[in-house]
Amino acid sequence: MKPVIEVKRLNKTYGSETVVKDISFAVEENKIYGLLGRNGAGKTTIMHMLTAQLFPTSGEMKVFGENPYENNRVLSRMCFIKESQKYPDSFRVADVLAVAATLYPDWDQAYAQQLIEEFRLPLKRRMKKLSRGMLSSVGIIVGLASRAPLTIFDEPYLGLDAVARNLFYERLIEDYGEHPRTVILSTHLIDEVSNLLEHVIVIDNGSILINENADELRDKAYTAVGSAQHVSTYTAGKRVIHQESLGGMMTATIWGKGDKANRREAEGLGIQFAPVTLQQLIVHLTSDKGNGRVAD
Amino acid sequence: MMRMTGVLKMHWRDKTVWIYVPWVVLLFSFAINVIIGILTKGQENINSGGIASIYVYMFIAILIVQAQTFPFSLGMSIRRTDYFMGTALMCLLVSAGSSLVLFLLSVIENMTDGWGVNLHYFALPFMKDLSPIARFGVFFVVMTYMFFLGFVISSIHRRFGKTGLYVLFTAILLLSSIGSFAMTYYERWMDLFKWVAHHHQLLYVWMIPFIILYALISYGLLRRATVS
Repeated sequence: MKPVIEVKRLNKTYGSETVVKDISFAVEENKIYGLLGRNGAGKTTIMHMLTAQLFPTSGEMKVFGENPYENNRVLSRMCFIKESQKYPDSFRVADVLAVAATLYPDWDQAYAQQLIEEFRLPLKRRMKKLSRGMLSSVGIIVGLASRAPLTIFDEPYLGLDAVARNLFYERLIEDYGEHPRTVILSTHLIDEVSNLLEHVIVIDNGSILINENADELRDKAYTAVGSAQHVSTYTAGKRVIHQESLGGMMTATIWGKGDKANRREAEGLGIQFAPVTLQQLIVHLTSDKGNGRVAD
Repeated sequence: MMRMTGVLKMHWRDKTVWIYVPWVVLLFSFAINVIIGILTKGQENINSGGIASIYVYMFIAILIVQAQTFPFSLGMSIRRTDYFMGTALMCLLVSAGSSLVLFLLSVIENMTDGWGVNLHYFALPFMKDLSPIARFGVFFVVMTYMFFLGFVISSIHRRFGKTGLYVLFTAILLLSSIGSFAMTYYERWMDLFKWVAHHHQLLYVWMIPFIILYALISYGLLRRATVS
């Protein structure tokens, strides 16, 4: 399958500070990707470069097989919704949607109308006067109704309540089903989106820590729970990315497959296995304690 | 092409900034002048400079418009080139439209002997000898000049930030200080004034290459400008 995005050895530096270090990855067509990582990891910078709003310091970058810079063939097929999007002061919600309708070739006005009602957006209100959540809703509506072959959401739901976030997930998955496209979702609410994601890219300190199919990633690690002594015995020689103990009990998150041999060994020690959620996994990997231990 | 007209349409949505406010400002200033004219019963010859208000407004408006619409446009997947072309075209259209109205008002002013109160608001004294087309041309060129002057300053800010503007204005200040010192030292001020007095109509023609220069510089800067 032809990749939608191909990035090779991409770098971005500001003076002596390197924000993105030698990143390479590819994004395949019609999949939902999660671009995850801590604040300041470099996610937003990468997305800005992909959409040609920022320039890479070095490296190669292709979107739909071409350089996106000043390229309408690429840009018109791309919709980037970001938390920091600025709007002209005098613009009302209706103005933003009307401009979007003229710019995105696949724009669906009826669908936009439906979303406006569902998100309860006041069309006549000025963008300046919107609450943070409403501002996010405008971005979400533009992102969904544009039906762009490559849609990128960067923290799209700042200030949105749980009901509206859920509405977003539902509409996204529904519309994705009917109109397949490539979606990149960058967010901190990993638990909420983990069911949506088909592929996960984790960025930490400007480098790629994980680039893995979501299902496979879930099998990459497991948690072992048991008495502290036994767990310590069990984890000896294994790659532990997180461990905590409470009283005489210990919980260890281990990088690797909990295969049959492991299971038998654990059972003998009275240790139980539990799956690790995507969120826990990423927290363990990107927190300063666990940082870089699996980056091999 | 389609996306450039998209930019044009985007600006057109903001008629408040491009059309309503400048004309309200101008007509308000005009009304005050007419009232003064009525109070003095048309016995005084009033040469108002009030028309400058719309020109100053356009200069400031484009600074604000670019600061707000450029990041928005890039966020909406618009090319920098299309943004530049669309915005430049909008400036030219607004200049042409506004100048046409100014010109028509100046014709009315001449026909009514200064609105019946001897007020010279739209038809400035130096325009007496100009052909109608030249009069329209002066309105148009000066307004376009104001737009592109604002546009280039805004582009420098977009590309190089505050530092860029500091450097620019420091350089201008320095050069003009050196220039005026040199003029004084070589006793050339009178020559300059005489030249301007004889060729003041040429000044408008001289604005045209500057407009083109500002446009080219703006384009070059915006091509390398980023948004975050």
